[in-house]
Amino acid sequence: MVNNVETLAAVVPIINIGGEEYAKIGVGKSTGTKLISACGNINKPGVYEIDMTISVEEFIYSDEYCGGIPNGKRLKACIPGGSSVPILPANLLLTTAKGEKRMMNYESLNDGGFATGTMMGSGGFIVLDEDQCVVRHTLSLARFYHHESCGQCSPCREGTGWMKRVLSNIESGKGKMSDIDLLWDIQRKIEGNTICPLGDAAAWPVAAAIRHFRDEFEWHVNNPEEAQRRNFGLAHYADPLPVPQPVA
Amino acid sequence: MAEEKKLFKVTIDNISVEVEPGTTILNAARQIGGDIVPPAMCYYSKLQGSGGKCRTCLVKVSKGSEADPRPMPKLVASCRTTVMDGMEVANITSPEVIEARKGVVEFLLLNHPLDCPVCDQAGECHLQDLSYEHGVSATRYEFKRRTFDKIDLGDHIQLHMTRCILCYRCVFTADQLTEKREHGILGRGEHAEISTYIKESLDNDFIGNVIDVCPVGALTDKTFRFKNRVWFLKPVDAHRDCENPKCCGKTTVWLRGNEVFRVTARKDQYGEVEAFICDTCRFEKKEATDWVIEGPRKISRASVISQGHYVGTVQPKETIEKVLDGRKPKLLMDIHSVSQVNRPDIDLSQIDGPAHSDDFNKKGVQ
Ligand code: SF4
Ligand code: SF4
Ligand code: FES
Repeated sequence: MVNNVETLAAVVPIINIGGEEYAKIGVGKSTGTKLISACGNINKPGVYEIDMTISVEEFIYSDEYCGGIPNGKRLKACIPGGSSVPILPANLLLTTAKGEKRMMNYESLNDGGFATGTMMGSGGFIVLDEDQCVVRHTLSLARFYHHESCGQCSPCREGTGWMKRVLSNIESGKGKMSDIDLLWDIQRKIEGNTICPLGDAAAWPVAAAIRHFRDEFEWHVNNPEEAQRRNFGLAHYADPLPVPQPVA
Repeated sequence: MAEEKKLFKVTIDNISVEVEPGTTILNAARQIGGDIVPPAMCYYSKLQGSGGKCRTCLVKVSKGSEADPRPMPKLVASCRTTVMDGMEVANITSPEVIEARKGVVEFLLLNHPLDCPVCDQAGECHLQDLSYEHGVSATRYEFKRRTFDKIDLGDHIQLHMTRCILCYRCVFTADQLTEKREHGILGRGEHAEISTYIKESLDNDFIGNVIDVCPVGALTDKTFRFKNRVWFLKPVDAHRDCENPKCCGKTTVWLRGNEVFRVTARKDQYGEVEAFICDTCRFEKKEATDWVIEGPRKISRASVISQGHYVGTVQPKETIEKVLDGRKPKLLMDIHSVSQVNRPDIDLSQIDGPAHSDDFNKKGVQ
C-alpha cells in the first residue's frame, strides 16, 4: 500500500535530508526507519520508531523500547508483524534456526521462511508471556478473520468460519485429535486460493500455531478439563530454552 | 496496409493454441475444448464482470510468458487472468490444481443442503457435476449449516438461499439485463445473501433469466417447481415470434408427450445461454401450439440429463474382487455386520455403542 500514514510520514524526512541520506539509516535492504506498534505482555506498550539495526531481544527487553515482560514472567511467543504473520516461539524469535541473533529487520525476521521464520509485516508486535494460551490466541485471530471476510470467494467465506468453529471446539475442550490435521488441511486449502490476501492472512496464523505449538493443541485435546480451568496451555516454550522440548 | 494482428500462443496442459490478446486462460482453454477446460461456477461469458468468485477455475501458470518466463507464485483464477504470449498453463496435469479444486468444492458444499432429491435443479446442476467429478464423498464439517427460509421473488421465481453458492451471476443478470435493479447481495462474509431490496417482488420482462444463469437450485421456476424431473423431459429447440423486440424467441422447450413443462433459454456445453429470453416466452407460453418445434436439443454436459449419451467417459476396469482385496462381493442382504465388508476381523457385536471410524482404523483390533 502506498498511501498509508507510515509511508506518507516517511516522505517528509526523505524530502528534508534527501533519499540517499535517508537510505543510509538501517541495514541491508531494510533502510529507513520502521514504526513498530508493540503490545501484549510488555512493560511499555506503544509505538516505537526503530532504525532496524537492533535485535529482537533488545527491542523486547531494553528500557528504551518495550521494557521487558511484566511480573517477572518469561517470554513464550511473539507475533512480530501484525496478526496475519506467523507466530514464533521464544527460542526461534530470539535466534534464527542458523543460530544467529534475530534482528528487527525485514531480512532477519524472514530468515528461515515460514518454517522457522516469520515476517516484519505491518509491524504490529504482539508479545505473549508464559501464561498465554496459543490455542485461545489463535482462536481470537481466527474469529477476527472470519468476521472480516467479505464473502466474495468461497474458500475464505466458508473456510474462515470453519477454522473458527474447529478452533473453538478445541479451545473449549470439545476437540478431537483429528481436528488438528483438519485445521491444517483447511488453512492449506484457503492459502493462495482466494481473490485477495485476506485468505492468506487468515490461514498463516493457524498454520504457524500448529507448526510450532502442535503439542499445545494436543494438550487441549487430551486434557479438556484442565484446559478449561487454567487456560494457558504449556509453558515450556518460554525462554531461555534453546530448543522446544518434545512433549511427553 | 493493415498490420496483421499478432496472436498469443498459450499452452494449456501441453496443448497449444493461438488466441487474440486479451483472451482469458479459461476462454483459451474453451477454444481447445475437452477435459482441459477448467470448470466455472461463477464466470458467465455473457455477463460482464462475472467470474473470480468461486475459485473452481484455478489453474497453475508454470511459465508467465516468453518475455518473462517466471511462473506465477499462486494459482490463478483462469476466468480472470488474461493470457500472455508464450504462457504455459497446467490444469488437470497439475496435482496442485486438482487438490486446490477439491478444496474449493468442499468449501462450496460446506453449507450446502445437498437436498438434490427434492431439488428442481438436480440433473442439470453444475454443483452436482462438480462434486461428482472432484468432491470427496463425505463432509468433514460437523457444525450446524447455514439455512434460510425460502422466499418468493414475484409470481414466477422462488429463491432458496440455502442452496446458493454466491456466484453473483444473478446479480449481474439483474443489473445488466433489466432496467431497474432491485436485487443484489446483502450482508458480508458468511452472512451474505441474495435478496431483493426489502423482499420486493421481481417484476421485469427479463428477470426470469436469473433462473437460467443460476448454477444451482437456488433460483427456480415456480411454474415448473416439482412438476417433473428434468431427465424425464425431452428438450427440443423451438421458436416463436416474440412481441418483445429484445427477445430472440429462440428457446428450448421441455416436453413430455405433447405437454410443455418448461421453457428455458438454449444452453451451450458450458451451461451458458446462447441468448437471453423474455419472461413471456418462459413463463406464459406453455402450450405446444405456442411453439414451432425445430428438433431435439442436444445436451452436451455430463449430467444425468444426458443419460445414455455420455461422451468420453471411462469405464472402470477394476473388478469388485480386486477392489475388495480378493474377497468375494456380497449381496447387501448377506451383510449382517458392516465389518464383513470393511474389516472382516472386527466383530461389531464386540464394540461398545455404535461403531465409529476409529474402530475400523485401529490396527489389530480383536
Ligand atoms: S442445487 Fe444441485 S447440488 Fe444442490 S440440492 Fe440442488 S441439485 Fe443438489
Ligand atoms: S442465487 Fe444462484 S445465481 Fe444467484 S448468486 Fe446464488 S447461486 Fe449464483
Ligand atoms: S469461474 Fe473462475 S472463479 Fe469462478
